[in-house]
Amino acid sequence: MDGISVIVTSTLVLGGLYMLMAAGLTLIWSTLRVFNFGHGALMMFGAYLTWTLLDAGGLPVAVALLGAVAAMAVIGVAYEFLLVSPFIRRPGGDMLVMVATLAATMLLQSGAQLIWGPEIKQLPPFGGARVEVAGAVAQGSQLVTILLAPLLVGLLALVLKRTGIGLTVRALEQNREHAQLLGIAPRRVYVFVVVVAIGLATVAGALLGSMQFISPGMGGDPLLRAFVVLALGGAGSLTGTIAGAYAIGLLEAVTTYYFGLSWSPVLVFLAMIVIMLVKPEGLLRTKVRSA
Amino acid sequence: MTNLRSWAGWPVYATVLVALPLVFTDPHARLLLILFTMYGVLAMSWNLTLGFAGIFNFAQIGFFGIGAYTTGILATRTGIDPWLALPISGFSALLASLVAFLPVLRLRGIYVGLATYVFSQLCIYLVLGQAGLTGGSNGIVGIPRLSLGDVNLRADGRIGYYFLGAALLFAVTVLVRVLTRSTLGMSLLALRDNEALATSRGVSRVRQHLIVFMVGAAVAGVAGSFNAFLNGVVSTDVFGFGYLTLLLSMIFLGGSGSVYGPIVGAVVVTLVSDVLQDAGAWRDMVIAMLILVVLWIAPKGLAGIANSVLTSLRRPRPPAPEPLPTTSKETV
Repeated sequence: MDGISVIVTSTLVLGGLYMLMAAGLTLIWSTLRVFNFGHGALMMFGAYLTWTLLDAGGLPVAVALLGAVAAMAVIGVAYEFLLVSPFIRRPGGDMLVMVATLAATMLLQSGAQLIWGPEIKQLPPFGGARVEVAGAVAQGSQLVTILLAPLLVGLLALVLKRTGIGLTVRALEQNREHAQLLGIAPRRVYVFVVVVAIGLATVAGALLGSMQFISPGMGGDPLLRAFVVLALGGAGSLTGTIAGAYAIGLLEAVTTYYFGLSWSPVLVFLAMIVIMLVKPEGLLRTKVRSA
Repeated sequence: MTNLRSWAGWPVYATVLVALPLVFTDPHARLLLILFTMYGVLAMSWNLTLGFAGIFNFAQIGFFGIGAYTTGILATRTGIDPWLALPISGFSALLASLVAFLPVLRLRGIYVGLATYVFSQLCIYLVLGQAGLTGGSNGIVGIPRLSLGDVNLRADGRIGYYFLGAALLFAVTVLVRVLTRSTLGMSLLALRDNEALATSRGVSRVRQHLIVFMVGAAVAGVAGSFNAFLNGVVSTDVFGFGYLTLLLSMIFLGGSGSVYGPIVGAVVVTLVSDVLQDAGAWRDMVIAMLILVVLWIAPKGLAGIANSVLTSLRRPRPPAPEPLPTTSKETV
């Protein structure tokens, strides 16, 4: 019984974190048709910015996070202008964007090292609330993650479904040329998408930074898990991403509990390879959208 | 006649490779020369899949690491002749490439990038998980040095290692040049630029990609083995982000899809990285900026610039025709 409650809590926490990361990646993938390798590094940078606003600015943790999201939005605009749009139209542009975002990862990581130094930091917990349901305990940042992640991603789904900008995003996803014929300017939508994705990553970074530590390399592992989520849920589908995130969270929680911390990633990645071989369009999707 | 002209460069290339360590005798310069050859081999072998075949292959760094670990384990745990470890490491990387190739069977474009990147990261977890064999996070230390007869390759400013590396570089350059001019190389370009047309003309994508994948992996494995002997230690750094970005910057600076570009890229990036050795995180900043600037202003790298200069020198009057945009927007 004890094992199950541990597994349930960590499934919900991990699933929430991976969902915040993977939702942004999916959104960028489905609208811009490129892959953002720098997502983990952006998450790390957001966590550091939150820490600075908290530590140097003396702001409460929630306000610091909001400030970091705003600051990261500015970085997001620069990111789109410098790293994505110069390459996206060229032949073989998806590989160029992939390499450019890898270079951005390097830039952000060494930048963080120069700005904040090599010693690791930690954010305080987001509140001290504690909830116990049937033996499963969640408190502080864990509880916030469990609640906030589905809330934010649900909000994103709602925005995509109901608002004007959401409509244009979906129009671009479905048919870029036709959307442009209708007078939709892709660039503005791209900037919106990148900023939203980076905002979600910043929240994930701050949450992870309060549950574990902040270091320049902290984004690597969550990014890899987000890859696996995309493979499982099918990149480009938000519903698939949500389901995939919790499925990977569950798989990781179970394998960590029974096989230990060093075997869990191996099993998770093996699952990903098998899924990619058997059903490359993602387990949870039925139809493949052509590019 | 054309045959003579196109092969006349090789003796010159070989002479330059032999003469370099005689000109630069300082131990540090010698070390840089060795690094040129190792990175040159690696960048060229990676360029086979990444540049010529257009496969988003990020497993190359994994093959390099697997080669290094194969040598580390063989040389410290078995009494095998160290020289045999070089080909065996190439072979073990080749076997690993069969596993890494599985996702390429059914995936395209960016998905291959994800799966192969994950493959490389998986290697780290496997190495850490098998600590009894691989030393875990401590790595493997005390790998015996190579020696030829009584001569240690480390003697005289590691000159033996330089000649071994130079021989490998020369062999790989010939290999890449021959491969890219062969029907295999042509079919790879055809598959990269228009897969549907190429397959309709009877080119088997899986077969051709598998061949080039295995060749690239075997070369990377041998380079990994070379690296293990050179340093005497192996750690999980060989799978790391550092090598990945360094090699990518070499390939893209030199020119992806060019035979000789990556060698030039390897030389330039090694020099830049050496100059900034004491600059800490600034070194990575500069290399990352270098990648970005090259991508912004010269997406075909130095080879592309050299090519356009040569073309305009040879035929000054008619402007070079605009290359037709290729349509390689294949995704799943």
